[in-house]
Amino acid sequence: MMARPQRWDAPFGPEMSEDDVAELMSEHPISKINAHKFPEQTPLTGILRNDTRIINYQPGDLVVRSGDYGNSAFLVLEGRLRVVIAPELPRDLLGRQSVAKKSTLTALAQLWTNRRTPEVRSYRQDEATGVREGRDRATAVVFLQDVPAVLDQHQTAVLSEGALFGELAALGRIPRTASVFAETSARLLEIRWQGLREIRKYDEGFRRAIDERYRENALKVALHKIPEFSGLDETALQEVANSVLFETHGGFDWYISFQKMRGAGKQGAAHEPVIARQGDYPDGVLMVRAGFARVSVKLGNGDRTVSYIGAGDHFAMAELYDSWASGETHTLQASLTALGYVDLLRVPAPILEKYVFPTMGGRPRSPVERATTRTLTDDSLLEWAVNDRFINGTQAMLIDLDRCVRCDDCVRACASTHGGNPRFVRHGRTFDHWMVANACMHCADPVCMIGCPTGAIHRTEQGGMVVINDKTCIGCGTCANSCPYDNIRLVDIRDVSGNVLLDEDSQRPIQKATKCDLCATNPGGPACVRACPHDALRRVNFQGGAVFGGASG
Amino acid sequence: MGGPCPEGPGPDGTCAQRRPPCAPHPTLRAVRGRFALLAFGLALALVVALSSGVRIDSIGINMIDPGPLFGAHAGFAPGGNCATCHTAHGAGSVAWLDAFLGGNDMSGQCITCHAFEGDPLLAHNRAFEQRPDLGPIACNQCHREHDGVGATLTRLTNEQCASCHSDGFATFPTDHPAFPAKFPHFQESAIKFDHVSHVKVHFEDPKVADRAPTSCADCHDVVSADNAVLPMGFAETCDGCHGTQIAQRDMVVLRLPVFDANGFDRDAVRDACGPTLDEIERLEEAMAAMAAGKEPAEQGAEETEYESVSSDEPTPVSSYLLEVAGDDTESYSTPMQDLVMAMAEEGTAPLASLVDDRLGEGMAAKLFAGLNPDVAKRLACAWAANQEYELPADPEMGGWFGDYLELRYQPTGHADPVVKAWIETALLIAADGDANAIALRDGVIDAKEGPGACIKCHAVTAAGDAAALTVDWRFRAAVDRPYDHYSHRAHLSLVQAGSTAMESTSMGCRFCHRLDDNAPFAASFDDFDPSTFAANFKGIQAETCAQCHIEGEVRQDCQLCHRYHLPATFKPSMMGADLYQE
Amino acid sequence: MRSVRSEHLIYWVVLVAIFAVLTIDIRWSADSLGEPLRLTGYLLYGVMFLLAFLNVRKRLSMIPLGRASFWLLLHSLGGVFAIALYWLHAPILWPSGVYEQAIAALVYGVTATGMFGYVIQRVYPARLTQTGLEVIYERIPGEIARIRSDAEAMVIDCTTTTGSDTLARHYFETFDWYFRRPRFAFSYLFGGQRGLQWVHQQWHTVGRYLSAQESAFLDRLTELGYEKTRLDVHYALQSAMKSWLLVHVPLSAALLVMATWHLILVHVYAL
Repeated sequence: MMARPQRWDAPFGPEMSEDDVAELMSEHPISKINAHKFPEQTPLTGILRNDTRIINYQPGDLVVRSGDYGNSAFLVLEGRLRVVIAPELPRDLLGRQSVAKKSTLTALAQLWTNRRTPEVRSYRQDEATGVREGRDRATAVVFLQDVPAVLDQHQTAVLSEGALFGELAALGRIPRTASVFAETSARLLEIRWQGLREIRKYDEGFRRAIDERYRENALKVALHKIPEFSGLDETALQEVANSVLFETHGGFDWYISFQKMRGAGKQGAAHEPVIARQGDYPDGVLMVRAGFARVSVKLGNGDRTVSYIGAGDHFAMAELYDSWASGETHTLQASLTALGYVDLLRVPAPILEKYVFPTMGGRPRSPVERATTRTLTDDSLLEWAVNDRFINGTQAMLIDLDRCVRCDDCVRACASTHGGNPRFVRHGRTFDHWMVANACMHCADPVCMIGCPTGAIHRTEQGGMVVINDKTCIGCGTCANSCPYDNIRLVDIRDVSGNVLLDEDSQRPIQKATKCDLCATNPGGPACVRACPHDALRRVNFQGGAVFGGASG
Repeated sequence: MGGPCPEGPGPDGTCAQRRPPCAPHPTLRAVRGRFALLAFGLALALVVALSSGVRIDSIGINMIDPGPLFGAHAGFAPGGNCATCHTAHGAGSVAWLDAFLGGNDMSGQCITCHAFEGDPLLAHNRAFEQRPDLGPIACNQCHREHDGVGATLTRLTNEQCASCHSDGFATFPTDHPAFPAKFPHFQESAIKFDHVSHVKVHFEDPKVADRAPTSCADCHDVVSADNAVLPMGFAETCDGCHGTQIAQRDMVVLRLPVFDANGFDRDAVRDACGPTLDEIERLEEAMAAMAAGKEPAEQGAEETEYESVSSDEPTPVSSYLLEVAGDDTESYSTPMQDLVMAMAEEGTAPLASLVDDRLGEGMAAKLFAGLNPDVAKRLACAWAANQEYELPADPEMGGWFGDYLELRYQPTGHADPVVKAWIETALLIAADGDANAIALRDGVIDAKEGPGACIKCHAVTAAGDAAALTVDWRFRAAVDRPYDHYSHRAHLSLVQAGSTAMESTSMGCRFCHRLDDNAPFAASFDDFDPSTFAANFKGIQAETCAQCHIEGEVRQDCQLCHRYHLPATFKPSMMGADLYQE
Repeated sequence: MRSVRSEHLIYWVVLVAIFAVLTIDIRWSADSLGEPLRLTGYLLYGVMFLLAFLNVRKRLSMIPLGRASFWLLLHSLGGVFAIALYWLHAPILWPSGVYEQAIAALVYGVTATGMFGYVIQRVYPARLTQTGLEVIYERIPGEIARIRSDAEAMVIDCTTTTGSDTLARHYFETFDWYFRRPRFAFSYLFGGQRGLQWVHQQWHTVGRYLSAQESAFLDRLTELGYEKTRLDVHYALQSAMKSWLLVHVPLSAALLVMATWHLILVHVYAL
């Protein structure tokens, strides 16, 4: 038997049968796919069998929510769906938490309302309306209770049989841009991103359809945001968009492999997917749209990390500029490897030479040059943070152990602002005299949000903190398992009299995912930072690399 | 969970999986909380025990030691009886609450013993019209107790004064206001003693060299001098030169005036006085003639032509008493003759009743004290007979005497009471505006004659708004400046021994007291207005003091010259009334 | 130890300036009709409450009352200010009344413990970092128990594997004492390394009697000993950093009571 993808050990839809696959093969638009182009180890039928699942939605069920991070696309097999165009659905309909800051008095009232028993929930569990349990916890859905009213108040578009949606968010690792709900009973084929990528790879029609939609919808917007292209007119931009290549490296679920690799001590550039190699000739500038990549140079027997680049950063600009300026070809001074997942745009050199370099003030700086002025010790913190992926954090809790007197005032402050329950552990990985405590870092690339069935974990509208709506959290544990930093904890919740709440069916404790919400509902920002009497605790944004002396792109 | 237990039950049938019971032990933080609570409680208990009267003072331990009291007050708190001053002490919780909320009356305790001329709780013990806003002042704002037996309770610093008198006083020479121009000679002196003429002229006269003083101290009592340097009495000072002059100044009280016609009844006069010497002579001649057998000579020839023995006007005294015009014979003849007639008959009694009627009961006794009724009678008899009274002998000891046509009074010496009474009376009655009274007064205070000699030295002033003038018989004390103090005695030791000598103008008294040659001293008394007084000393200026009272040499703080309180006394209540109780 | 943080220097300067002005003013006030004792007394009383408010602030971390580090800075400055103010208020270092002595003792006690706490909180964190280990205080007994059971298991393993009980005998004579509970706290508090030396000494003492096979066990035992040493350092230093408050806070509570009573007394008797 040929080696088949490892992921197929855990099929996306365990209930998918051969009959289902056969039926799908005959349905539009899958029937249009040329199955012969697929390699033998990953046949189309195999993809359908293992990387897709069929889900039935009832009228009003929300399929995708605006703002969700998803890793799958949907194909409408039957029924009619509506995509909400404007205005967006209210957040409470989407199962989001409405983040209202407590008044100072309400906050103060926690002095006596906080309970001695942990994890008490004073609201009734059936208050969490709008959640319909699925076959298992991972397929629970949030539904709209009054579809006619929504149709009345919101401008929507119809999605009918044969329509594919959600593929851009799945492939580009970007938040869903709109909410989609079932107007009638509907049967949808959900394709996880691995399968989608394979289909796009091997089917010309699929690829063209997806890429065109991508170029039309997302790419131009993305290009506009890049400073170098922001001045271009419409036709020039179109030309750039037509010539730009987009590619992804690494896996969506890098957090799983990351934890495994870290457990095995396999860290560093040598163990990461290589995007560009030091010494190679560059054919274009790589611009990061999402995710992170490590910039490293060979040093002795290993690789020295000189920088990391994230969304908006680019790679190989200096080398291409030198080539353009001198007429000689310059090789890459550094390697680029994917830190987990990275989504890139490859802008070909001719485009740059035509539109970018002539207007550039001067030679762009290469991160490698910066490294020449710094010792290994200077950059050891950078190396550590990149290896441990702390660069993902925008609000990482960094504790200066040389100042910290271990008084736990931060923990107490956290507990006092969260109903008596601390939402972080004052313990974590240390480097030199720095500790990154086990508190949610509010990642730039929040892998925890991928796959939340009810959208309970989401970014706040303002501030973009990653928070969990306790009422719509069903305790499935998806987020906690996804978090590479072990910063989400599932807790058994209790009623007001202190008894552990049990699920009526399974008689098992009801759990909720909890984590640092950066005191989103509390006046005055993170209580932990304010509570530190020695200025030892900070919430640090690793983006931009300011903490590493400007190490980032 | 579930399934068979691999260990199985223990030998005694109990579960082999038993774990020691969970015995949570408190965190250090919890322990800390308990400790804090305990300490809080202990402190509270100590406080409660203190307030509920647990005393350990009695065993010689000072529970609360505010410090020892000032020596004079040390006896107030025997055995810790603080209630002498602190009324709330031991007086129960209500008193404490009252005291805590501001009802603590410490000053009230002070003034049970201490009294001042004026309200003790007012600033400077006096209400100042210009500053009605000043409220009461507590004693302990300045007087701080519990600073030890030897503490100075009454010390005041310049800064303390400056908390109200915010003039920015730093040093005396630079910041003290200039003394008033007249300082300290604000008040007219009672004695018109012209220091300039005496010191510069009279004392230099070789004729009096043996009597003239050579030192200020010869006349001024410097030995007991403090704020004021009083002159010694008349006997010790002026008497040496001026003692004999007083007795030479008789006062003419009554005078037989000129009459146009003889209003006297000769028979009545004869009845009252007996025959006159002429008559006796004539009677004797007649007797002799009769004895010789001759007829007595006719007497009617003399009666036909009356010529008054006096050609003068009556004295203002009689004019005033009889309410007649002294320059109008018609007006006074009859009353005057009646008075003389009455006196011829009854001596002084008519005069006395007339004086008492006119000037008030008892005045006659003062004004005519020592007047012999016989003398008066004989004088009146002589006058009634239109004769001059003939002095039996010259008066030597002073006192009343008739002198031809006048009743005179010769002063017996300094401070003669009759003369004083006449002068006072004259000044008093003149206030009514009566022409006779004014004439009487003008006569009395005329320095050239008679009792005006007194006025030569004793100042006459119009006292206040009363119309009457008064005489300053006694030395007038210095103007009352209760907040100022200057010790002459203290400065005496500074000047060289014997330098009170008048000649010394550099180191003696005249170092400060400079004579003012040009001051119209004597003239300033003439208008009887004390406010126009011009001393014959120059005003003393602050610069004089500042020659010594400067930084680094002699004290120059406020309290050196100025007093905060009005004179202080003790109240009888402090004498421990119960000492005398049975 | 980190010296006074430069960004805090300005506060210290302000503090000294305030105190200088206050001293001058009070000297002047004592000469005029002012009541410097009332001023300093009430100021001191207020400062005491400001100092005590640090504790309240720690309990009120749910509302924005400013950064605790700022409050701690105020607390440190205020503490120094308070003791200076106390000396300005009380005429003598040691009063004669028992009650006043109690207050003085509390003032000195609170100040001394506060200064002690300030110093160790500046010194110890870096020492903890130097151990290369980071452990939560409450987990230390459990960690020691784990090391001990590991050590015991290994010694038994050594005996069964090699058939010799030399190491086991030595273990129960010496290491057992060491692994039983935290040791040599005083050495660590004063910056010593008694534990390392002790463990090394045991290794040296018994090593000469062991076979090569046993020596391997001894080396691993010694490694556990070194690990235990690091835990001991943490235990000693973290205990100290928590325990000084055990004195400081209760004394402060008592002082507040005594000072309040003092204020009442003064009002009843003197004002």
